[in-house]
Amino acid sequence: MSDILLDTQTAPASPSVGQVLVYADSVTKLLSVKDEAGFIHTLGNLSNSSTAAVAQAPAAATRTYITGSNIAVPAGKLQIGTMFMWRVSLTKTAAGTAASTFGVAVGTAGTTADTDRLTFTKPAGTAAVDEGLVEIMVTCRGPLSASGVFVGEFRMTHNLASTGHMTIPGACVNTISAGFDVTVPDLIVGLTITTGASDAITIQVVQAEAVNL
Amino acid sequence: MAEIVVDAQRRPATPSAGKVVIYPELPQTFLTTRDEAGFAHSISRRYNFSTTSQSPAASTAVYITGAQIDLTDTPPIKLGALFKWRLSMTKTAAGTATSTFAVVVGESGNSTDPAMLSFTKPAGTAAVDEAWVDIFVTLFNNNQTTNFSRGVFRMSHNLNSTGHATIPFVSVGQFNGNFNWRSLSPLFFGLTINSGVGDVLTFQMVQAEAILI
Repeated sequence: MSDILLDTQTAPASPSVGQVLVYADSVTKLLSVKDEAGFIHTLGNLSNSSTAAVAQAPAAATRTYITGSNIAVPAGKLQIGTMFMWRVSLTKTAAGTAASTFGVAVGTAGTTADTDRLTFTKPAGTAAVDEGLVEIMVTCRGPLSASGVFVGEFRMTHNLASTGHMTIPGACVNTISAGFDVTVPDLIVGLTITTGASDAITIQVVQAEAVNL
Repeated sequence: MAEIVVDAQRRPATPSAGKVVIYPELPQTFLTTRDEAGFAHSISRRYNFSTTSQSPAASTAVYITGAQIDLTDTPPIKLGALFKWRLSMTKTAAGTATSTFAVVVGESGNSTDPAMLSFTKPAGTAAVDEAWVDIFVTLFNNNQTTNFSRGVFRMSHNLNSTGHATIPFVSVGQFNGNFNWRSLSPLFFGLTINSGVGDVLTFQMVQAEAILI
C-alpha cells in the first residue's frame, strides 16, 4: 500500500487504553489524532493568512474584523493550553494620532458580531508616516467551562523611535479575559481592530496560527 | 475508510529502503514516522504552556513552569531541531540588576538540570515595565559525538530607556560547542530564570514549542 484514503468525519469516540485513532476531520480537513484520554491533536499547522491581492485598509474609528486572522476551532473544541499566534503588518500615513484597539474576538460568526474577549490598546502616536509589526499571543487557560479564561500579550515594534505609530519604540500589553464559555461548538477566534480617529492604516500581511487543537 | 486505530508502541525497527513506518510512539503516543535512515519524525508538535501566572523568587535559579518540553524516548533529535519559547514578563519598580535566562537540558526536568545556553538580560532601572521575551534555539551537530546548539534571546518592552532594560530592544546570541543531550534519558528541555537582586517579576503566560523533532 502506498497511500491511505480516508473519508472525512466528525471526532470519533475515544479509543481504548494504549491506542490512538487517526482520522480526517470533516471541518478542518486535517489529519487528526484522538488519544485514550479524549484529547484531539490536529496534525500539521492550523493556520490562516490574508491572501487578497489588495491590502486591507480598515475604516478609521470603526471596529473591523481583520481578514485572514480567523481560526476555526475543530470539532474537538478548545483545550486547556490551546495557543494562538498572530502577526499583522501595519503601515500608517501621516494622518491620525489617536490610540487604536486590537481585540481577540471569539464567537461562531467570524465577524464583528463576535465578542472581543481580550482587548489591547496601542498607545497614541503622532502625525508621521510609519510601519509597524504587531504580534499577539494567546493561551486558553481554561477551565473548559462557561467561565473559561484567555490570557494574551500584544507586542508592537515600529520604525520610528518616538513618532509615527507611537511615541515609544516598542509596546507590550498583557490582558486577562473575564470568564466566558469556551465550550461552544464551532467557535471561531480572530482579530478585530478599531483604529484611532482619522487613522489611515493599511494591513499588508496577516498570519494566524494555532496549536494544541 | 473513515479512521484508523493504531496501538501505541515503542520505536520499531528501521524499515527497508523506500518505506516509512507510521506509529504512535510510547510513552506519549505522539504519531511518529520512521524512515529508512532510522530517523524518527514526530508528526505532532511538541508544546507546553502555563495556565497561571508565576512570580519567581529573586536571585535564585527558578525552573519556569510551562516551559518544559519532554523529549524522552525521542532521540536521535534531528539536525535543525528548533525550540521556541515566548514569555510575557511584568516588572515592578523593585530591582535593577541583570537577570539570566538559561535553556537547561537534563534528566531531572527541574532547576538542577545544567544550562546548555545562558542569556543575560541587561540591567534595568527601578521602574514598572512590561516585556515580551522570545528565545529561539536550534540544535545541530558536527558529527555523532559533537553537539552544537545556537540560540538567541530577544526582548522588547514598553519603556525606552528604563524598566526592564535601558535600551528599547535586547538581542543576545549564544553558542555551545558541545553539550551532549544524546545520552540523556529521560530528556527534558526547559528554561530557568535567575532574576536580579530585589526583582519582582511575573510571567503571565509561557508558551513553548519544539518542531522538526
